Amino acid sequence: MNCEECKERVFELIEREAVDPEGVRAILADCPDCRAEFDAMKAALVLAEQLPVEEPPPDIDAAILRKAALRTENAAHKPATELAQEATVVPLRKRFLQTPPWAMAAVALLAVGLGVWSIPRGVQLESEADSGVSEAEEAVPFAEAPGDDALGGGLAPTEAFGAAQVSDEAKVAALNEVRAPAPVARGRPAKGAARPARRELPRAKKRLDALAKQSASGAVPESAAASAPEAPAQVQADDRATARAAAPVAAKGEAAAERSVQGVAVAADADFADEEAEDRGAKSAEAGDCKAKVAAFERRLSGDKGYEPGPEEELAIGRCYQTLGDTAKARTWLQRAATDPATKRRAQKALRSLPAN
Amino acid sequence: MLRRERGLRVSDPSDEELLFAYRHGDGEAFQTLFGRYRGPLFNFLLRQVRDRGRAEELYQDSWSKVIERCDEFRGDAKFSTWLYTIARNACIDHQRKMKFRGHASLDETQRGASHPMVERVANPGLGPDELGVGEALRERIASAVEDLPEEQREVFLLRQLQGLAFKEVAEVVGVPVNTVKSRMRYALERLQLGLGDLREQAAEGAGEP
Repeated sequence: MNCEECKERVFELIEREAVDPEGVRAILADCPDCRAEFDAMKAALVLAEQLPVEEPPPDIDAAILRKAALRTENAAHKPATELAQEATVVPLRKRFLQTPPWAMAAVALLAVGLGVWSIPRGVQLESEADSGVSEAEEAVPFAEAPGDDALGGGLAPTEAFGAAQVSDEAKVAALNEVRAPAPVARGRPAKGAARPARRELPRAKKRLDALAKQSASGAVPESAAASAPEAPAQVQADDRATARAAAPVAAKGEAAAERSVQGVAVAADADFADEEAEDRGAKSAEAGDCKAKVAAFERRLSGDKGYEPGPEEELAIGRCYQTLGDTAKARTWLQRAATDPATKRRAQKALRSLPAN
Repeated sequence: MLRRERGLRVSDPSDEELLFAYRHGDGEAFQTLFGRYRGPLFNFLLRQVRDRGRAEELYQDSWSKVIERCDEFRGDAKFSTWLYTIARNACIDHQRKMKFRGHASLDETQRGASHPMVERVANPGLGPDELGVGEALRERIASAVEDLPEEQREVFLLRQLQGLAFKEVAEVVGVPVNTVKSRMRYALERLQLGLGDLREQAAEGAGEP
């Protein structure tokens, strides 16, 4: 062992001396410097042993022991799982503050992105719904529109569409049926509507089911059922959208839906051909209907000088004139209807469909 | 004397076993553990901060942290290492606070003064004439230890008071083992130089019953 090693191991040698004094003496015998170092360290340690020891204050000791006992008592009253939870649970505010900034930024970005994406989509859906309603309403005779009662008995035939008084949602659903030219929805397909997609059939059935249930549960007002017999052409109503008809008609539609669902999808094409034929019949019936309405309306207009038709009536009568081919009168009434915000959009649409002068 | 004289038997539970027992609700285990370390810890703090009031404060804080954080002790280090790490960190925090508040360090030599403040402050204890020889010797030794540079002092105290192995001291202080040994050697050399005239007295004092 050289001097450097001896210096490094001096404490080890001091400890070893207690158990192997001869061995240590032998190691140190060859080098007086190492021996001196050893003696100096040993002497200093002997001095250090004299370092005075002081006692901690008893009151502080007692306070520490009280605190320790308190923790033990608390632990005894709580199950281990609860203690573990206590040790790990971080207050909500602290947890939020501990969330890394990049994560918060990502969440904020996602929220903004969703918002930006959903706004135009919502507008689109709204406009689609609007156009669906208006297109379907086009297919429905004017008496279906709200305020039909104001037209009085002259327009009674149209009251066969008792379903017009069902809730708006049912109405929209039924009108959507018109747009979807499934066999069960026998209404006139909307303008520009594509040929029926086969996957639409079950959906149409569901809607019909809902409507039938609504009708059966009395959601369809009694007035509809009562007025239905008054309709001069129950068959006409039957020929139109069965979904919008009163309970018996709805039941019939339901049966038709059952048939169509059970039937092979290929039958959809044949049904569509039938539908077109029915549609043609409906058009002719509609024309006859319109004649009666226009006649009643003109009678009332000429008989009652103070009579002011409402915007809905103006729109409806304009459409009737349009159906009958009286473009000039149709334009007049539709333009009047277009002055009212409630009917403006529909009237303008009808005006656009009029042939140019 | 505290060094390596805790009187533990082989059959006695280890510090770590006692702490685990305390964690599971054994209050007596804590008392046993506390009894083993209360004296050495208090003296370590007292010699480190050289102020009894501060030492008492840090002593209580250190044990409070042991009680509060005993669930965090995983057992991959010795309890003594963990305890003295807590105490040493408390001392460091205390010294930082003192610096922040503008307290002068006892080690610093003031402008215009030839000696550090620790050598000039009034000794609140009894004078050498009033003390017995052994007591005077101890006071000088205590003073010499307090004069040691901080790095050497903490190593010396951990080794001398608690009897920690050099490896454990290295873990507490956060330096290599050889550095710890060097610091210890320097500390002892310094003590020997300062207390050379007392060697004979110390030898006599150590021989006293």
